[in-house]
Amino acid sequence: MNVRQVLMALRLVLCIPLVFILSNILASVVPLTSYLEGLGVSDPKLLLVVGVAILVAVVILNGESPGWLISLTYFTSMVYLIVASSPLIEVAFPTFYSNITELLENNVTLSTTSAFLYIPVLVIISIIDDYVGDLMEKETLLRGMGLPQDDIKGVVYPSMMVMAAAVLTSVLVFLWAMDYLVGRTIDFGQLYYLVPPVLLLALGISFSMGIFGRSEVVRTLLVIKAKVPVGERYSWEIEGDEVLLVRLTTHGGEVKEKEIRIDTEVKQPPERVVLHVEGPAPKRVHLRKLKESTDNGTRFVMYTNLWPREL
Amino acid sequence: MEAARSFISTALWFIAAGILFSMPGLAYLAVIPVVVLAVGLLMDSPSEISIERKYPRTSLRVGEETPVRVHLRVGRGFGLVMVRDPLPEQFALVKGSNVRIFFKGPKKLDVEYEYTIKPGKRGRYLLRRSEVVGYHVFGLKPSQWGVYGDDTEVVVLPLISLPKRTRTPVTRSKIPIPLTSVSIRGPSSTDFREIRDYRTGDPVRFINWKASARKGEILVNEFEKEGKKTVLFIIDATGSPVGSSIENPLEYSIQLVSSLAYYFTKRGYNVGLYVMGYGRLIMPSTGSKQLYTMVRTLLELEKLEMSEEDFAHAIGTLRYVLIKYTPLVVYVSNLLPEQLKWLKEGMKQLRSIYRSMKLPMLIFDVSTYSLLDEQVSSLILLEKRGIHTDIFGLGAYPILWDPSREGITSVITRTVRLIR
Repeated sequence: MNVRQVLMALRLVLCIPLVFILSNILASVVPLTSYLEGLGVSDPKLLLVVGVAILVAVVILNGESPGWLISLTYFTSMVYLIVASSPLIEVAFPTFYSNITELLENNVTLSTTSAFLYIPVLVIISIIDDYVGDLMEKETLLRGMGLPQDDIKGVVYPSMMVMAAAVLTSVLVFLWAMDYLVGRTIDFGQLYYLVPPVLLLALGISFSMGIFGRSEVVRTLLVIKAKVPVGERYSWEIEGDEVLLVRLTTHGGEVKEKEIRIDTEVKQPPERVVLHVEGPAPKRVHLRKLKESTDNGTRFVMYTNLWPREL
Repeated sequence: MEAARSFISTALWFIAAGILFSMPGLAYLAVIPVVVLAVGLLMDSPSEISIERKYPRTSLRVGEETPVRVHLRVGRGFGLVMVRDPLPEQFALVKGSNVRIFFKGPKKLDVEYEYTIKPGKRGRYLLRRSEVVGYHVFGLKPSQWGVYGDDTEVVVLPLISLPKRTRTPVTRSKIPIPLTSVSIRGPSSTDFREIRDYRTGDPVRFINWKASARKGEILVNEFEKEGKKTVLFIIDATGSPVGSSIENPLEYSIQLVSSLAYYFTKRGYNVGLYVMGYGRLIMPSTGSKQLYTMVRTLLELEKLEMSEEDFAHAIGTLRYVLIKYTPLVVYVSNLLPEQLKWLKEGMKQLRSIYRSMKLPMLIFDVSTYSLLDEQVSSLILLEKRGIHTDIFGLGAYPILWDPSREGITSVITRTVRLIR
């Protein structure tokens, strides 16, 4: 099995809960089940499970994302839950509330507890499905670049594991939060009131550590990647500080559009970089800053006229 | 970064819905995206990257394969690391891949891999530093991008082919090297030539002490130089390009001149080079140093589309060299009808120098047109035949070389049989 097939199989497994949730929601609609029974279907729920499973399988095996189906199920559960159990609806729209409650009671058998439990499950499915979709896109891109199959496997599978660990952690925290909400908490003795602030502090530290960089810049390396008309060989010289003018001289050979790369150390990151190609086809090229990152005390700044996809 | 925005907006929607509809349970659902985001943000994009590339050889010949060993180290972070070694377009990837991707987990990443490259064209090339991108495992942080390692210069020498071993023909040579073709440079032999006045730079061991004492001024012995015969190559670097950057008349001409220069140098001949279009002259001499100088000049040659120089002009420039050495002239070009006028003019000048109707001159017509359309190629060959007849009538010896039909070894073997 290649990586793409493994990811597709994973998506299918991931969507099993979605099949059950969606078929349960549909089976709870009384007019629909009555209609199916009227058609002579002995077990309408089973038919709905099979129908939804086929729909999901067709979508996934066509290489598409079942995201729209997940979103549809999620919004149905959310709207049903809000309409059926929000105190605000009852207070703000009493007439609408009494009518809709009556309508729902007569036609929908889905409990609000089930609707509430479906939401976190759907959120998790959605997060993992998005990640699998992202990995599938990456896999196509990497395969196109001629990367060895072993390399692709070696990056896709560990990524999946890390994502699974993150989702599992979030599920455990969510379950703990729900227990905390209903009062079933672990006995922390006198310190129980410290739990929410400690949790908030931990989250805050994690965000701040993630957002602020810690590297110190010792030197700046300017990298220019551009597609310009050049011959077989080229040389360049740089003038200026804040606005850098790069003069590119081309020598010999046929002049055609080629991707060139210039690496040079600069005193400070420039505000603007202009590339002036000299030779048989002179051209002035304005470059834009695309990337800037710091590593091992070196700040890398990339200016280009290429699209990010071409890099 | 898009993933981070998506997580934050999902969490905010849950909180807003929980507050708006007075449903604390809904607000608690925000915990899921917030925790995934927090776990993700605790991990950095891969950083503390270093790369070391090893090339067993930095001097290669065209078509010679060489492995490149890459040692990648990543100290921090969590996620995917993509390494890309940009290769000059004249290099082909033979084995492995110059683009690789690795997963950086909780441990330090330390990997080594290898790929094999092959140059398709002679020249000096700079193998640029590796581009490395470190992607965050969840795409929550900007990727780490940089260029690592060192630039490496690789010199690709033209392919030198030797002729097949052949018996010396008993027949008279078609192109004899002039007997007057004497060397004035190169290492000295033991054949005494004359006594002359001392000139700055003359070795002390050549001073003739007895003669100096007799005459009262310093005199030195002069010996004949080794390698009496001289071959002067004239390579044409002008004209419009034909074929690809790897398969074109200039590239084949360089290969041919390098191979013949090697052959003649190894046999003690003086060899010289003139690059038409650039006006660059390497005076005839012999030895490995001379061969190296010639090859280094040929390495950096590029086709000139706009040039004022023609064959007649080149002969005019080389007049004093031709008079001094009376060499065998080997002219290598892609002959076209528009050049015939200048070629005839140049040969007329040569006749006045050599004072002979039969010129010690070999003209290689390097034709790569058979790589193009067959009908076009046939028409061009017909034109070329006409040019060759004219050249032969003027006293030079033309050789048509079509590299797609005849290998270089064969053409060199054919050539060395002719020359003595």
